[in-house]
Amino acid sequence: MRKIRSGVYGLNPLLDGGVNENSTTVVIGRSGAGKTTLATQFIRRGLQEGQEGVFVSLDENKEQIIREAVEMGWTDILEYLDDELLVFIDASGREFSNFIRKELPAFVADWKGSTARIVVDPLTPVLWSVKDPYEQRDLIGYMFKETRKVGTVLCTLEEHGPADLTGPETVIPMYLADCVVHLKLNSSDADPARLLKIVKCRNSRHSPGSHPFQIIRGLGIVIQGVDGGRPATIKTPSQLRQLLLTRSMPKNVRDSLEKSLDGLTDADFRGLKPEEILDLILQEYQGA
Amino acid sequence: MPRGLGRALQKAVAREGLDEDLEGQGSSLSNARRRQVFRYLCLRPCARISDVGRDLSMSQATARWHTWDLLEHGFLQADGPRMFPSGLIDPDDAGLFAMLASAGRATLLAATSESPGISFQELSERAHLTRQSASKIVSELMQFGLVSVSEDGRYRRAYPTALLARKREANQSRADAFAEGLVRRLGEEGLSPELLRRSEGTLLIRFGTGPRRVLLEVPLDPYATAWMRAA
Repeated sequence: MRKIRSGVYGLNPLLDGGVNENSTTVVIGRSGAGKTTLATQFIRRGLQEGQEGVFVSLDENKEQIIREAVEMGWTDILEYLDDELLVFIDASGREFSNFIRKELPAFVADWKGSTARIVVDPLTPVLWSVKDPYEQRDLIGYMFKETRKVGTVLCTLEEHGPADLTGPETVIPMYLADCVVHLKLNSSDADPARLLKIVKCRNSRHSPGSHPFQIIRGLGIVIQGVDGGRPATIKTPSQLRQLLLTRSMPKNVRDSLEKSLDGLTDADFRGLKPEEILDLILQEYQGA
Repeated sequence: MPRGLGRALQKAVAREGLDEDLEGQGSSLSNARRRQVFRYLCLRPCARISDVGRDLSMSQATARWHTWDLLEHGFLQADGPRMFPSGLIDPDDAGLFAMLASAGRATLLAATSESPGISFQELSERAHLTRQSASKIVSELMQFGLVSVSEDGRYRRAYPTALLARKREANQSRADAFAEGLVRRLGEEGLSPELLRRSEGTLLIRFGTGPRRVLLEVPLDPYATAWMRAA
């Protein structure tokens, strides 16, 4: 799967190299958490690469989002808009669910194979447009499946309810998305703390931790303490490979285990010791 | 890859309604209003012309004229004064659909299905009918085998039967053939149909002549849609 750069400083290493092309990412967070900033960075990065950008706004008006981008220092947005490489679609107040059911399939049939970056900000009104959870799942699932065919999609989602993201409005899109990024804003302190966590990312070895970040004028979201340049070490898998040779086990088991170690790095083992894993393997195949 | 995806999506989102007449008189379904009438009768076969006109905001005369055209070209089939899409339902069920299309029937059936064991008193309140009218309609629904009634002390209670669920299930292969036949026919009429989406209950096709293309969403689950949302 091809990785594309997210445009967010420090995010690509956390996503195992970047955002998967033709995938759907959901960015979830409370008001002021930085969702629209992240979405704008994502679109702007694509524009720099020559990809078209589409910003579907279901909530705030176009002018406000553009003004905020310009205040951030991203005045090139205006040129992209003039050239129609970036298009804003104000879909607020429209029956967007009707659009998804009827017009979207026709649109996708015409534009399949495009490599645009598409932002839907926020997805929440689409969820509200249907009441029944089964119907919501059907609608969102269909929307994700179709829009992936014309580009890489990023949807923002307002965080309501429990802080552990178990509310019904968040569970359905989180379940259906390929990648989920949670932006947490702890505003109770005098110094607000911002944290970014990758909740899931299909087909990627993503970072398991929460990462502090700042929003800086001109740069946008910058994640702290990410060392993307360090080459991956493979001490644990090579030790395990050596250990496997010292014990007796069926040949087909040994062969398949050795094969599965190809490409793994120390980061995959997250502190598990080679001896510990070997013991477990031996237990599993004892007498087999 | 050609550019202009954003502008095209903007147009698609902004499009209000899908109704455009196609050039030429090649097919009945080239006419936007006639497509609406056809779609309506797929949703509610054997609906009354007055209901078709009211729900689609057209005069009864207009609605009738379109149904005649659809009938003449074989898109509809008639059973007495009532019409239904050819091949979408079992013709023996035309009477059943005609009954469901009469005032209050669908509402009472939907209420019974939502609240099995509902009393006649509640039914009449739910449908804004007198007890006598509700009672008359329930006995009609009973004649068609759609509800059963039991006595519970001084209450008479209505229960839904499994008949429509069975008919609905049994109709699936007929609906598949209907959908295929419709696409084939549009193809024969030179309208180059594209099948965009086929879900359990609907068919979404796009067709047209030259650059002008229209969308038609065809409901394929009449044994459910004729009454389910009526309550």
